[in-house]
Parts: sequence; C-alpha cells; structure tokens
Amino acid sequence: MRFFEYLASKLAYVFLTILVACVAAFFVFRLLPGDPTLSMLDPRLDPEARREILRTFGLDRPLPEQFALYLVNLLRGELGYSFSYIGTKVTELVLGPRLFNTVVLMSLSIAISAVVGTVLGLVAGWRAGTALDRLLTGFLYLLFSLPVFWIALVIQFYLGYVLGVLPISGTTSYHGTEVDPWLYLLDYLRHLAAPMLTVSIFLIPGYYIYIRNTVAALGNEDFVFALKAYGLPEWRILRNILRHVLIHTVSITANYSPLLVTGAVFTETVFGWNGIGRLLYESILKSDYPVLQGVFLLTITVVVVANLVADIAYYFIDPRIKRGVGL
Amino acid sequence: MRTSAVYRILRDRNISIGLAAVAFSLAVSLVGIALTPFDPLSIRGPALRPPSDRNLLGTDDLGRDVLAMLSRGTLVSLFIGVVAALVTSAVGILLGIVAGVYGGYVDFAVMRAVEFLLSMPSLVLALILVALLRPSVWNIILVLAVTGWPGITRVVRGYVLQVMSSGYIEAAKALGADAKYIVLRHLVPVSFPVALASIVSSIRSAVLLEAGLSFLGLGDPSTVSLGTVLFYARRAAALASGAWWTFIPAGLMIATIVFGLTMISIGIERYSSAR
Repeated sequence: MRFFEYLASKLAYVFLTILVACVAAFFVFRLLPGDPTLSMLDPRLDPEARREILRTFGLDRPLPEQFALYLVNLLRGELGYSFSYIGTKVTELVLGPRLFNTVVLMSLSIAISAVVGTVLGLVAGWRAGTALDRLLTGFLYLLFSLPVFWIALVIQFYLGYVLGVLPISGTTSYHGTEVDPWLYLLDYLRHLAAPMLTVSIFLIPGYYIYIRNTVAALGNEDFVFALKAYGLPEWRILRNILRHVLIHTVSITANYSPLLVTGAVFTETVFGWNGIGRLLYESILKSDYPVLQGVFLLTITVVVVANLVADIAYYFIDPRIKRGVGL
Repeated sequence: MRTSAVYRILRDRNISIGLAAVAFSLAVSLVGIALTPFDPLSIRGPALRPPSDRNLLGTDDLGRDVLAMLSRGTLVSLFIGVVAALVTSAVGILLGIVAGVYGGYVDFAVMRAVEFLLSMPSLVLALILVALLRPSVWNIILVLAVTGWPGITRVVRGYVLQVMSSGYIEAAKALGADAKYIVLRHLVPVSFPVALASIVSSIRSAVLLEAGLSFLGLGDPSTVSLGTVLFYARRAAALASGAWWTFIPAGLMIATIVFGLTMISIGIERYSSAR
C-alpha cells in the first residue's frame, strides 16, 4: 500500500471518531441528571438568580439550538467558561500550565517504563523458564496488582515522611516569588521525582509482561532456530528479536498514550501535582461540567492523534504493511 | 469426566495460586468480622492508636477500628467486583453475539463503539459518569459495566464469527433452526467459557476501579470498601503522623485480591488455549 493511501484511510477514521466524540460530549453532559447551578449558588436563593445563570450560560435555550451553538463554538476553538473558576475560559484551564506539568510527568514516566519494561522483558523472555525469569515475572505480576494510588501513598510515606528526602506535595515550593531559574528547575525536578517514580512503577509491568511473553514465544520460532544453527552470536540474534519487539513497544506506548494527559489522576491527586488529572478530579468535586467536557475532548484528541502516530510508525517499522499483507 | 476436568484446572499452578490468594483474603475478612462484632464505623478507642490487643490493626483518626473497616471493606469490594463483572459479561456476551451473528451495520456500529471505548482511558469515563450520576453502589456497578463490556464483546464476537461457519451451526441451520434458537441454544453456552478469562479479568478491573473511585471519595458514602479505608487514611493525613496501619493492610488486601484474580485469568487463558 502506498503511504498516502494508507494515511488517507487512517485520517478518515480520525475525523469520524472526533466527530462522534464531539456529539457524545454534548449529549452526555446535557442528558444525564445533575444541576450545574447547584454548585454555583445556594439553592435557597431567589430562583431568579438561578434563571439568570442559566441565561448567561445559554442553558435555557432549546436543546437543538444549544447543540448548534456548541458545534459553531467548537469550530472556533471555544469551549466556554468554567463554572468554578468564574471568568476563566475552559481552554485556558485545560491547555495552560497544567497540561505542561502533566505531559512532563507522563512522557518521562512512559519513556522510563518503556525502556525498563522492554529491557527486563527481553532478558526474562530470552531466558524463559529459568530462575531469573520466574523471579522477575512473579515480582512484576505483584507490582501489576498494586493500585497506583496505594503505590503513591507508600512512596509518599516512605520518601516524604520516613526518610524525608523528597518534598511531599505540590509542583514547586516557590509560589510567585522571584527565583533563579536553575533553582526553580531543581526544585521542580525534586517535586517531580516521587510522582514520576510512582507512575513508572505502575506502567513497567504492562510493558514487561507483554514483551516477556512475546520474546519467550519467539524463542521457538523457526527463524530463531535458523539463526542459532547459522552460528550467529547471541547478541546478533537478540538484535533481530529486538526488531520484532519494538513493534510491540510502540503499540503498548500507543495504548498508554491517552494516559499522557489524564493518566495521573490518582498520582497527581496524592502528590498535589498541578496537572490535568487533578483538574479533572477537582472539576468532578465542583460539578464543573464545561471543564469536564474540555478534559474529555482533550483526551479523545490525544487518543486519536496517538493512534495515528502509532499507525504511521507501524508503516515504517513493519514492512508487511507496505506490501499490503496487513498485520 | 467432569471431575477430571475440574481436577486439571485446579492443578494449573496459576489458577491454584490465584484461588488461594482470593480464598486467603476472604478468610481474613471473615475472621476479621468474627473478631470485631460491632458497627465498623463506631468509635472503639483513642484516635490513631497503633495495633495492640485492644484494636488488632489499630484505630484511625476518628478512633474507629481499622480491622473492622478492613474486613467489611473486603467483602464489599469483592461483592461490587463480582456483581459488576456479571453485569458486564451479560452485556458484553450479548453484544458480541449480536455483532457476530447479524454482521453488517450492526457489527460495524458495535465494533466502532468497542474500539472507541477500548482506546479511551476507562478511568476518565468512569470519573465523568460518576460525577454525573449520584454515587451509590448500583451506580458504581453501572459505571463499571459501561467501561468494562468492550473487552468481552471483542473476544466473544471473534469466537462467534469463527463458530458460525462450523459444522454444528451449519447442521442446525440445515435442520431449520432460526437465529433465536442458534443464539440461545448454541452461541450463549459456548460464549461463556470463551469469555471466562476476560470475565475474571473484568472482576479484577472492577475491584481496582471501585477502589480508585472510593479512594477519591466518589464511592457510596453509606458503605465502607477497601478504597474507602484508604480514602479515610489520606483525608486524615494519617501518613504525616506515621500511622502506617491505616493504609498498609488495606492496600495489601487489594493487592492480594487483584493478584489472585490476575493469576486465575492467566491460568484460564492458558488452559483454554492449550485445549
């Protein structure tokens, strides 16, 4: 298949998904029960105040009209105003520094887990059935069973309180004070360490288990036998296997990519990391529907774009697609 | 014949380890309830008392007995997990069969929904749905089912497509069986064992997701689950006062259950692929 043909078929799917998601995002929030005005004002107040709020946000109009307005606004990149941060646009909240903090946390954690998980999986899978493999696999399955928020609590307790080597909470210790940029960066990284460790521990088993099983199965493949019979040194055979394995590493990373923006709800909440995950949690507590909707749309956009990037990566990694064999 | 199949399943190392882990957590929970025959939310001592013979797992910041909350919480977590998995698998199997049997537009629509939901982080969907619905045990189960069915549907649909062209379905068709008969008599019974591994792993995700929602304070306020115990521990800043007993046992309990369920589902998967 030619690259542009391939790309066009994937792009068509991207637009379809985003369209469906936008429609879903509108109706889910309008049709499910829940009164947004309750979070903004005391229900004992004058009902006229409630009507005033509904009018301000356009919630008194008929549903089809609201929907049309919503679509027009979406095209203009307008997601409305937050219910709880009065006067702040949703786009400012969702696309601001919070997104930066979360992407920093998650992209570093995903990168660490991809490398550690793939390397450990390759080693254990190549030595499948040995004591080393059993030990590693058992331990990683144990990690796989830990709830991420509990990992976060234990790390916070141990590193923050018992040893006291890392800051317990927050994104930085400097709030609004002028500070040397290097000191600021150092402080930011010190705050980043514990949440990053948490998310990495949470993600490593997913890579490990998949890669280990793939490599263990590849060990019985004819081509590996052939390479062994040919007398190729072990590292050269492993290099061949790595080529197969990298496809899986890419596809697991693509599966994890939605986590890039919202994967750290628990970790960010426990460590007070000022990111999208915590924004999502706070918006739920405050029934801030426009922000929830914004986070939802952002998540979907990331999911779709990540899948597209992964599909493009497959095209170049996996020669079978070019020949049109399919996976 | 039947006993030998059960025997072989129990002899699988993963399945026996998994069953032992789940049985262990259940046993701890039942013994815990027997040792603490009182309302788990009642005050049983001074705040944050370390484990002693008065309170075997100590007390939390309000002086409530941690063992009493932990043992009830385990049962609640398991109950929610199992019921959610049953609802999830009913929906998942049904949609998988419908998609596989009817094909065409129905199949297309179901499978696009499956792909969409599988690529979305289930936590985000669950959080948003919980935010819009009122937090109660049944709403949590509903949310778990909404986020959990696609995995089962995909497995069942694949199997149904494979089976539809097999001899016995052809034979049933040739004998004049209608779609309803084939679905009820042939497809539903075969789909259950095929989906069993996914069903067990959906209990696993349900237990984890419920614990997570309760940990964030979005669980049913009138019941205590394992997540709720951790929610109380965090809210009370138990960590800052070194009260490890308020959160270490509850986390280990979740881990034991989840580890057991993971092992069982791996074992079933291996057993069914080896057959």
